[in-house]
Amino acid sequence: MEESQRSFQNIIFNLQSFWAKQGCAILQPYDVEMGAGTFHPATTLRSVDPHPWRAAYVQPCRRPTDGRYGENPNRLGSYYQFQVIIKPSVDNAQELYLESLKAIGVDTLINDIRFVEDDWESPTLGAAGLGWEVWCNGAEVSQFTYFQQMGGISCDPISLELTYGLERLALVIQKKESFFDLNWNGMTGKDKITYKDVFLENEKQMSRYCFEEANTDVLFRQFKEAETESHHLLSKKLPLPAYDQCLKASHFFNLLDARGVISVTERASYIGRVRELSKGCCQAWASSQKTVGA
Amino acid sequence: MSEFLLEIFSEEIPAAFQTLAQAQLANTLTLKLKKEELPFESIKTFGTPRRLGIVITGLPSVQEDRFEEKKGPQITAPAAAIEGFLKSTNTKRSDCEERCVDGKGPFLFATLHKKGTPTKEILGAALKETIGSFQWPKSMRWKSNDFSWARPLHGVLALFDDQIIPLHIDVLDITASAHTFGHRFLSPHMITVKNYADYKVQLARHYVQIDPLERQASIQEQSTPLLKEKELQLATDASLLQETANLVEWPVVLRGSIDKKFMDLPEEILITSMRVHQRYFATRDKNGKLAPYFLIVSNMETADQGTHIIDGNERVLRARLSDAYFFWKQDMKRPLIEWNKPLENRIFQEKLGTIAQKIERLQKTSKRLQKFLPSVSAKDAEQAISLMKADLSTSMVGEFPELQGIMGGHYAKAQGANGDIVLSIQEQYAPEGPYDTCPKEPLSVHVALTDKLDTLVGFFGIGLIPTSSKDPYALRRTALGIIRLLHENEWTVSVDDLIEAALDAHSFEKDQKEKTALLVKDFIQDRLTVYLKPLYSTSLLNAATDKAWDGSITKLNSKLASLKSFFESPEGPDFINVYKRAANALKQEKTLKKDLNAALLTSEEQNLFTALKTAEATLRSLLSEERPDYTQMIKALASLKEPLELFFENVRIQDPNENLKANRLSLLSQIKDSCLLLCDMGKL
Repeated sequence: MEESQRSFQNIIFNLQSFWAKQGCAILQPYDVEMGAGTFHPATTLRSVDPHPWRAAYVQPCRRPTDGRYGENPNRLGSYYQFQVIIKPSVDNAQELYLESLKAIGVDTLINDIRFVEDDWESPTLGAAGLGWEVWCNGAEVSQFTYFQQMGGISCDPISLELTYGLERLALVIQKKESFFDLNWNGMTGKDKITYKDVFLENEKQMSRYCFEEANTDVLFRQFKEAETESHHLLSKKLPLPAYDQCLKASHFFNLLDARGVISVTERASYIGRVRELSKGCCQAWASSQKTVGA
Repeated sequence: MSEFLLEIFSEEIPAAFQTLAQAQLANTLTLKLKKEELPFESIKTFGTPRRLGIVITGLPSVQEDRFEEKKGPQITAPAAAIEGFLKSTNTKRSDCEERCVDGKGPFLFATLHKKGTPTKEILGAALKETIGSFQWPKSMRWKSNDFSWARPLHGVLALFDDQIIPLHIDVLDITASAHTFGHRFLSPHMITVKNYADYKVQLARHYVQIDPLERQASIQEQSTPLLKEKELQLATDASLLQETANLVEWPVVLRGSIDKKFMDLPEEILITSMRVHQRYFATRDKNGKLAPYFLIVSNMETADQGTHIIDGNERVLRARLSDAYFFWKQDMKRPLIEWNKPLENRIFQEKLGTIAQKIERLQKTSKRLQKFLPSVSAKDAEQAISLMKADLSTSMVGEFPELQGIMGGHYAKAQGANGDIVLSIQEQYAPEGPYDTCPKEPLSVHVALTDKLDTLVGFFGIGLIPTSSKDPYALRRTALGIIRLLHENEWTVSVDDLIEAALDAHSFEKDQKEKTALLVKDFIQDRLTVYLKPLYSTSLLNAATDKAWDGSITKLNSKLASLKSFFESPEGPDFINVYKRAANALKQEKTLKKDLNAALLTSEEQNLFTALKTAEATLRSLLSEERPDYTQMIKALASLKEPLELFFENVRIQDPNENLKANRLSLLSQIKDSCLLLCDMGKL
């Protein structure tokens, strides 16, 4: 495979075209801050209704506590996931996934690819699934999950969720040691744009914001407002806008957590409050879809 | 010989489930075959991440015919009843036997001939049930199926004597076949097999080693030259060997190396990064020092001899160790004591306050305990406790929580703390469970004991007491830790004193403290009984601990050892008998006069009384010692045996003279009391 084909952006293009061929709707990132691609309503909400569904998208993820001021080569406060959801799951799921790795330049005959047990759980979403983390030569490059529960609802049919850690995969594909050295646009010489060119400053400033400058009084207030609004919208049977507010509450909580102002016991209670919202949204969505389907 | 072969083919089953699943498959099928009266000669399971299988030899091809007798009506019964019986059993009147039962009858008996079912069919039904009701530690559903397995199930290969067993799993629409697939990457072809030998050979040709033990052996075999080349050795690690063998179908062992600069990191960090996070085997040089090499068990044979794989794995480890190195340097920039600051906001338990508050309590408890425990430097104890929890705030323990305590020790050492303090910080959580190493150095034992006592009395004080099924705070393990620390170091302190000292540091109300002290002592005594059960009989434990226990675990154990050896000696049972005779005599009397009138004693009684006084004096003086010699105490009591026997031979207790009778009972009662100082032999 050509060097330019291994660029960060080409990995995304190739994944999109691979999954488009499998009948997935290629969506764009959701425009609300979130901690993982699973939170995109195209995954969370769509996994609880009975209708078949196939989608794939890139989702920028924000993990305020993981920020390291751009000083750690393998840890970022924000990064990209490529997410695939297929409902119901298919018999050749593993084969398709491995094909997709080949499509982005991972030679499965010279690398050691392994499916290693990993039971996935998201207390914030009231979600759980069984599957694996996929290792490539000892590096975790993807999560492969059969959803069993979402928003407290037992899934039926079962959705298959694939989450590619794009930066980690790119390290393997480009054989680099640091996220910041990744070739973004596939060019060489002075035309080359790296991950560092795109995101280093972002990591520095966002780390300062998340760890030092974020106004916690404002964040506490915003959490409360988002929570109240979400409950209000749920009472009006509007799960989609209610879910947006749930995502916002979840993000405000993550910021407060990074600022270190939430104690261990309070932490559990905040997570519980977000879970209440996501459960409400999933339930409201599921019942609205039953009506539509009927 | 006949042969039954089964392979259930699925997506990757968690390594930890495989061994259990193989045992379950064997047990379930054995039971079913037994029920069907199908004998067999051998049974053997096998498995890989993607396969669960079994081979059973020596089964008959058809179940033996079975004869079953059915009882019918009396021969004198109405014709319609007899007709009905003959019809339902499909027999002729002339084929029926006539027999009386319990003097009644005669009745008609028909013998039903049940033709044996072909084994193939029985196996089909047995497999269907076994697969349908299989128990996994955790199972899942997929697609829209109403079916659970550990991971999606894709196929069943089932042969009996070269023939496919009739089996269809409806919910999955899977029909048993004679085919399977090779290694996921090295040979993903469909393979059709004839029998087990053929299956094993063909799979090996297609890069699948089906026997987990053979995979383990292969890993060891491949490791040897890789280690030898660099003069390395490997610590035995059976659980990692089993796990790595269950993560692959075709083990290929490779050697990676570690950059020299990371070798300055504490060993525990390197080992945790390798073993826990990456499932690598760490290696040591010939002097036992951690070496800059590790072994990877991969699942691939590659054209480049694993170069890519080694390169990738080294890169992953480098990234992890770079992180660790960064944390190590960051954490070392500040004195360890400063990491206590964040602990003021870190909750230990909601009602028991923060970890900083726990440290304050530990300081108080430690000071109080110093008068009960073997001496340690008060200054060292204070410093150890002030530093022991600080590492919880460091970034290294944030990243490697399993290194709590260990890292604190390293940081304390780097800042010049003395060896005892360093060790006591590292060993503060030990012993964790029955097999963990137990601290030996007095300061380590002191610190570990103080911490565990605070936790135990704290949780009991706020009512979070373990139930038979739930122990979320691992308080049983905590109590066991206390028991082991005291017992293995032969510290004689009474747990009453320990509990009281620890409770004093908590801010509970007075009556809450008293209530908690009793509950905690009972709990420790209960755990102690469990702990000692393998060594002593339940009746001896009851006899020795019930009322006679002064709360010292070490003294109790030494007493038990002495008692056990005495009661197992030839004199033991005789002494118990004569004691019981005395105790029984007392049992019949309602009121007992304690005072004894020496003037009324006969010569036999006088002998016994003198012997008793001597024995009692010896007993009391021995008991008051720090480490009583229980063997001597028992000897003193045993010296009463002869005078007691003579007493029973020559003296009549039930004397018509009430005064004499009361006097004799009083003598026996004193003897009983003396014996109770040691144990209650009535319970033996």
